[in-house]
Amino acid sequence: MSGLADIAIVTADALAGATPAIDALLTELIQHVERLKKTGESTSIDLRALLSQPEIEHLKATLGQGEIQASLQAFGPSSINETRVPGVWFVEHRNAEYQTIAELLMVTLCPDILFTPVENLSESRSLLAGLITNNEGE
Amino acid sequence: MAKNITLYEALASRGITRRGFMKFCAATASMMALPPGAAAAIAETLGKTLRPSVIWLSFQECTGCTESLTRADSPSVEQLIFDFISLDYHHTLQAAAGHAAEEAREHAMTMGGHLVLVDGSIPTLAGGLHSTIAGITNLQMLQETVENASAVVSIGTCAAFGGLPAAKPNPTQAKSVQELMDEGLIARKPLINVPGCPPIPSVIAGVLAHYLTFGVPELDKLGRPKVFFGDSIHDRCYRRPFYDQGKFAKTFDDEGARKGWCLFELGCKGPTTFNACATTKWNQGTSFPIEAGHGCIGCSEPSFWDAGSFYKALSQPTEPLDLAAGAVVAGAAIGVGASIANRAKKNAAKSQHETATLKDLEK
Repeated sequence: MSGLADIAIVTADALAGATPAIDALLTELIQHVERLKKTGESTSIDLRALLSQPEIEHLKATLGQGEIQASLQAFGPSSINETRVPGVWFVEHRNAEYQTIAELLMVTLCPDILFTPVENLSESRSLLAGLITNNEGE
Repeated sequence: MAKNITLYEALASRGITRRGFMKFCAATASMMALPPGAAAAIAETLGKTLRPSVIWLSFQECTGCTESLTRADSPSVEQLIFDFISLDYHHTLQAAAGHAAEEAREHAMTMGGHLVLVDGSIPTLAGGLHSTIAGITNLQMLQETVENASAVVSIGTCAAFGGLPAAKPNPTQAKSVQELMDEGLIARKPLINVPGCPPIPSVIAGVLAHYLTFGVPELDKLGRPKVFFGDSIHDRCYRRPFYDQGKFAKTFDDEGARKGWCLFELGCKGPTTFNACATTKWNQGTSFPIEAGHGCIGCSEPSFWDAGSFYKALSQPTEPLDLAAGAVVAGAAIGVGASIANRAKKNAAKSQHETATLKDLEK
């Protein structure tokens, strides 16, 4: 036996497909996109607190893939993808064992985690200096 | 790890970058069932928080609560939080033993402001002599450790509500931490109950993270954090639509069971049990008991062990708020029907009952 699918009972897959919760979330997204456009205010939604895993998969398929697919390696891998709806991002954080630790839907121009942390800039000068082959003038 | 470093510094020393820390905070917010926007506040607070001193006391317990937290097989968020605290005393886990162990506890106590975690209930019969550690009763140890503590967290149903040691006939007159505070036997401190047999590890860690960042979380009338114990298992159960449709498994191997129908008639206590199993799940989010085909036994509720058979249906469906009036009547009829059927089964079993002897048990 290799997993839940091998147990002869129907699990959460029974509920896969469009559900009222997904429709409600899509309606909510319209409000968030409008607010982003008007005020620049970003929003994050914790999908695991609202939807079952099959619903999340269905929502992911519904929103599709947009122009940007970013990956991050920090405290395990993360994927940060803009959906085909501009300004709506699907963010999945995994730990070092590839277990999902957070699944977020973000309505933003760019997720904060993609920006270079200002704290890291202090390292940049010394790193760059170290890359210069003739750095005697330093 | 030194005590005067912040969580961010502790994570940085493990090679976790600023982005990794932000991700950690996003996962912590998710684990604490807070809105994702709280991640920034968590990052700011945990970036400044120094390691708290924690004393973990184990009394009349089975060590399942400690196992729950420490048996995770990967470096999870909860482990990182647990690694961060300064666990100055835990007699199951610590390397020190005997006088050295007790000295560690006494030293942490004299500093004051520590957090006390308790698993297990506390015997009170005969002055508490039924369980002693290092020559003093559990009650005495709790009294002196709580005296200067900043807060107490009862880990597991035994510490929170008495649990199995307090089950009838409660031979040691076991009591919960809450009862001891109410009776004035220990100092009253902010108390958080994290019941479960055992509690979900990420819930334990989430409560610790909440305490470190925002203080004592909002509690329900039983002292449980609402973020984790605010919804019933039933309300968040993926089988709930089958309940609403009146589709119930009648046995563990019938067609309804195979189709994943509601386990209400098989004794599921989901409607009266408040916990996060259906959303947080177990074994790194793999599943929870109902997903494995067994009803909830209600282990995070007071006196669950004395609440009748795990396989006896609740007398009637509860809180069918979303149902039309007709469906409510139908649901109630199903519940009454199940109750009558169970009574008939019980009577039949009673008539065939033979008293078991010691000889039978040795067969």
